Amino acid sequence: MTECSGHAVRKTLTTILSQSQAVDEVATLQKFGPLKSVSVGAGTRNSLLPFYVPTASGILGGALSTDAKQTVSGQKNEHAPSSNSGALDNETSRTVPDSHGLSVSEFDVQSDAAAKEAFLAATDDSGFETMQVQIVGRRKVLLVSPDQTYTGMYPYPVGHPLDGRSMVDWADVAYDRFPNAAGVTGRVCVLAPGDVLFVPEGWWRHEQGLSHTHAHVQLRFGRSPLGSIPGSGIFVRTRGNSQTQIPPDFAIGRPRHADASLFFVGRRVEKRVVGFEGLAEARRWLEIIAQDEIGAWCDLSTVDGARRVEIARRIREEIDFGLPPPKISKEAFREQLDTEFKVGAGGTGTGTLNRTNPKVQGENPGRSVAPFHDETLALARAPPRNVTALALASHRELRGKGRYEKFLRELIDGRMAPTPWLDDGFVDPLFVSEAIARLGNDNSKQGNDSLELMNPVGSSSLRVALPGGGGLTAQKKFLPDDRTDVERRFPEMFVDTLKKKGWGGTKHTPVSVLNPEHPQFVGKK
Amino acid sequence: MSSKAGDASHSSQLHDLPTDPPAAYPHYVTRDDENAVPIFDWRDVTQRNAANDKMRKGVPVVLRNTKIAVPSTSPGTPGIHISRDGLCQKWGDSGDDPDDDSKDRFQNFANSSFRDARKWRVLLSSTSPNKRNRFLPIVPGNNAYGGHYRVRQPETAVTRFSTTEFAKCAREWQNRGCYLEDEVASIAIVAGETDTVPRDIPGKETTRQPRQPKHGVRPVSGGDGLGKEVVDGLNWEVRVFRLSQIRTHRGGPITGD
Repeated sequence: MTECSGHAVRKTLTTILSQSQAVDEVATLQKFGPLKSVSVGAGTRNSLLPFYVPTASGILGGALSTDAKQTVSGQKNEHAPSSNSGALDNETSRTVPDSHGLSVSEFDVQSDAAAKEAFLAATDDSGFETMQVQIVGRRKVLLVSPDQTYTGMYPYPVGHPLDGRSMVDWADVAYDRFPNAAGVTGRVCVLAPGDVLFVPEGWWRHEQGLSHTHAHVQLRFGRSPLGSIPGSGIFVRTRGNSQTQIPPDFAIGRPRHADASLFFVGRRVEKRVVGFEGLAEARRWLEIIAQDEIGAWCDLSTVDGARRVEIARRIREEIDFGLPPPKISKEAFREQLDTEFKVGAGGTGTGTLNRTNPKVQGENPGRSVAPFHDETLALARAPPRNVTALALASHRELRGKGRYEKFLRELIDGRMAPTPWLDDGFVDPLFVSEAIARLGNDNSKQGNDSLELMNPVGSSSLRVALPGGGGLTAQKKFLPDDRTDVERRFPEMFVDTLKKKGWGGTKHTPVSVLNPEHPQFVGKK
Repeated sequence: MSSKAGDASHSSQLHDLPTDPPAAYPHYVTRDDENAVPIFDWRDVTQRNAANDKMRKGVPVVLRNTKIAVPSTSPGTPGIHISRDGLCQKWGDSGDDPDDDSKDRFQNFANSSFRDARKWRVLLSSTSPNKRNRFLPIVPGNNAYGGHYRVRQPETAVTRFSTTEFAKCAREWQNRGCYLEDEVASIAIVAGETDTVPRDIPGKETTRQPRQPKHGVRPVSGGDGLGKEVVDGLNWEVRVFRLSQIRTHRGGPITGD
């Protein structure tokens, strides 16, 4: 029988560690995925694509996002500039009957098929690695690592129309709404014709045209069909509750980089909760799961309760398995091995491996470390390759477990709430036309002065006084100023009242330290 | 190894010009442009290996002198070398300075339009002064009426233009920006679609069809102008594409540099 010694295990691991370049690397194939598509981007000086990550929904939406009426035969493109010069192509596209027998543009049908194809090729579990080849002009590209996705980039929620983009307006950052944006760091480059920029998957990109004319070609490489535990080299395919572990030897393509997996794990978790609870309730349930209060909110004797407990369990496991291990130095990892695989006090030939880990227990006070299994005895007997895989997996499992609380809090921080500021300045066109119509009717009546033109004839824009105060223009609705003198002088005392009336600008009460919404709030949130 | 890779790259070379528009992000994000993406010269073997190493680790890099979009010679038919124009030469306005506003913008780019049977997806920015150059297209499927995240008036409109229309708008519009962004080519995924050169049968007269490209990338439907120019204008035989798995799609191994 082979002697199982803690010293032997430690020696083997230390040897392997010294041979490996980095802790998070396990040798796998290093090919890109297959080339999926080639796209062209062209713009003018200062054209700006704010921070975004290409996602499947974005690609599908992009290919389908044109209004059908603009390419259907017989209708001209309303956005097209004047064709007096004759330079424009006024010919409408050919039409074909669609599945309903309607006459639609031939290329709308083809675009639809292409978009669906692209969508199938690019599910959220498989991101893109891209190569951007600059062809004309110069372009400035700022890249931010995906590990800052939920700690500063504030992506729009997955069900949002702006999914895959950052909520922060980086040209004018609202730090009160997005305080973590102050900690974001990125890398910048200026691309000249002929330059090729390699963008790994999940990286945020922010592109700005510098030349009057610039154009580039983007080559989009997909991923292998298998997902991976980041950096571990052990691949996991989840189908329902079953998980299959595949050793590194069978890895196809490149493993997902640890940083990128943060982005994708977050999206997967979000989609799962949204799928079960809906967009409006997703944030609340993620908060409940993060606080481990699912038991208090769900009645296990009901179908819904049991279902929610099951969802919570899946989410925790998805995070535990998918979350990358924290970045530690080689020395720290060596020290960790010393602590973890030391010989027990017995000093017998078989030895006992002490797996107590104060750091891990400190991170997760509510969770107990799992008892040591029989695999540990096989650890020393197994070939070195398996020792590496098992030990590194064990190492990562320990570091990753229980971190769902922190991750979920980061995931919902400042996100997954309605985004009313995107509708600022919006006036319902029907409302405007209705107001103007009423204005005309009322003006025809003698002696009715409830509506009147607020600006003299010749002014640039029409302003209409609304009954009850306030006004309306083509761009904006003005509120009637019905505040009392006290409300005007001390708005902070009437925050709720003024908010109900539609007055913004007053966010906090004077007793700020006791107001949970205030940034300097001192109590427990 | 990683330190060697770092040493092989160039230092920060942003080459900002005085005429460049100001950065649209806070300066602390890049520490006043100190955090730069490493640049590697693809002709240098040392730098090439260093760049490969970086890419394997999931780090963005800039590759220079890859010859991807420059004129190349490709073996279309054995024994006959066909000279092709690279995309940089085709669209680059014959070496004209793209910063020179007096030149006709996108002149060569728009020339491909007459062969296109389709129009391309173009983003139109808001006319608001502070959003004039910003493009934020939405996903229409997520923007349902009455939805939780409904955006009532997206700031970026999306339409379809031919390249001629796009070039005209780019030249003439002052209060609104436009940005062309669309898929122009994809990999041929139908088995047997590539390498379909008919063999000459002795004693039988056959018409030789043009050889399908080995790389298997083809323009999208109706994109015989822009799409074909992109596919033909890129040099698919450069070494950088060896990193990809194009060949798994019946393209065969890519050799040569």
